[in-house]
Amino acid sequence: MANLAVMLGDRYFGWRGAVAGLAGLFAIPALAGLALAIGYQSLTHLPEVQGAMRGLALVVSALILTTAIKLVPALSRHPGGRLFCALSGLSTVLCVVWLKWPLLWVLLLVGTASCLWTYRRLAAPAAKAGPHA
Amino acid sequence: MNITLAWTDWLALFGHFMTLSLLAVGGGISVVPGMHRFLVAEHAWLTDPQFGSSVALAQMAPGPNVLFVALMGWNVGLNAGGTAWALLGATLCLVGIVMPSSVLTLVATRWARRHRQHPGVRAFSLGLTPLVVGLLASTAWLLLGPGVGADTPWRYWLAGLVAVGVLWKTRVHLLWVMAAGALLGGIGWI
Repeated sequence: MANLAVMLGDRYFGWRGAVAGLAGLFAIPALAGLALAIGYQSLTHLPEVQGAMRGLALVVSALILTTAIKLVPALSRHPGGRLFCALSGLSTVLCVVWLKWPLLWVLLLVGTASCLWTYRRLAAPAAKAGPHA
Repeated sequence: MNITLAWTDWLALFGHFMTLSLLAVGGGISVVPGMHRFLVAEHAWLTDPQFGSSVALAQMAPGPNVLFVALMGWNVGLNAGGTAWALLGATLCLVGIVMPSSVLTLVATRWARRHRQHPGVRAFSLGLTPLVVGLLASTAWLLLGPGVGADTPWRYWLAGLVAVGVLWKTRVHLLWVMAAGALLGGIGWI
C-alpha cells in the first residue's frame, strides 16, 4: 500500500508527490493507532484488559498465519517443485524461530539458495523438469 | 519499564529499521521477527507484552498495515522517558521502515517491470516466495508470546484454530473476529 502511494504520487507529481502521498497515507491512521496505544496504556493494569490483549494477539497471530496459508496454493505451481518449497519454507522457520538468526543471515543463506535453485529450474528445458514443475 | 537511550541508540534504532525495510520482501509483517530480535531479545527496549500489543493494536487502526512500527517506536520512547521521546521513536521507526523500500520501489519498479520475463528477475521473486511464507509463519508464532507452551489450555489453541478457519474461509470482517478474541480473553476463557 505504501509502495502504491509512492508510485502514484511519483507518476503524477514527481518525487514531491511521492512524499506527499506517503504523508497523507500515514498521518491520520498513525494518530488513530497512537490513540489506541494511549488508551490501552492507561488501562493495562486491569487483568481483564490484559486478558483481552491476549485474545487480540491470538487473533492477529491467526490473521498472519492465514496470510501465509493463502500463499501456499501459489507454491504448488512453483517451478522449484513442492519439496523445494517445503524445505525452503521450513528452514526459514527453523532459522528464525528456533536458531533465532538475524533476518539478514536467513535471507542471504536460505534466500540465495532458493533463488539459485529456482533459477536453475527456470532455465532447465521443460523435458527435464519434474512432474510438479 | 525504564530505559536510558543515548543518541547513538536512537541512531541504531533508525538504522536497524532502515535495514529491515530493505529485507522486507513480504511486507513489513514479514520482518517482525527481526524487530523482535532487536527490540526485545537484544536490547530489551520493549517487553514482550509491549511488543505484541504494538502489533495487535495497530491491526485495529485503519490504514497501512506497516503502521505497527510506529507503535513500537512509541512504546520504546515511552520507556525512555515520555511523550516527546515517544513521538521521536514513532517517527524514526516509521520513516526508517518506509523510506528505503519506497526509494527502492521508485528506482527498481520500472526496471523490474521491463525485465520481468528475464529468468533472473523471475527467479528472484519466485525464489523468495517460500521464504515469505516461512517468515509470516514465524511472525505468527512469535506474536503468541513467551507465555505460550505445553501448559497453555486447549481452549486457547481451539480459539486460534477457529480464528484461522473463519479468517481463511469466510468473509466475516476482521474487526468482529478481533472483538470475539478480545471478549474471550477478557472473561478469562482463553
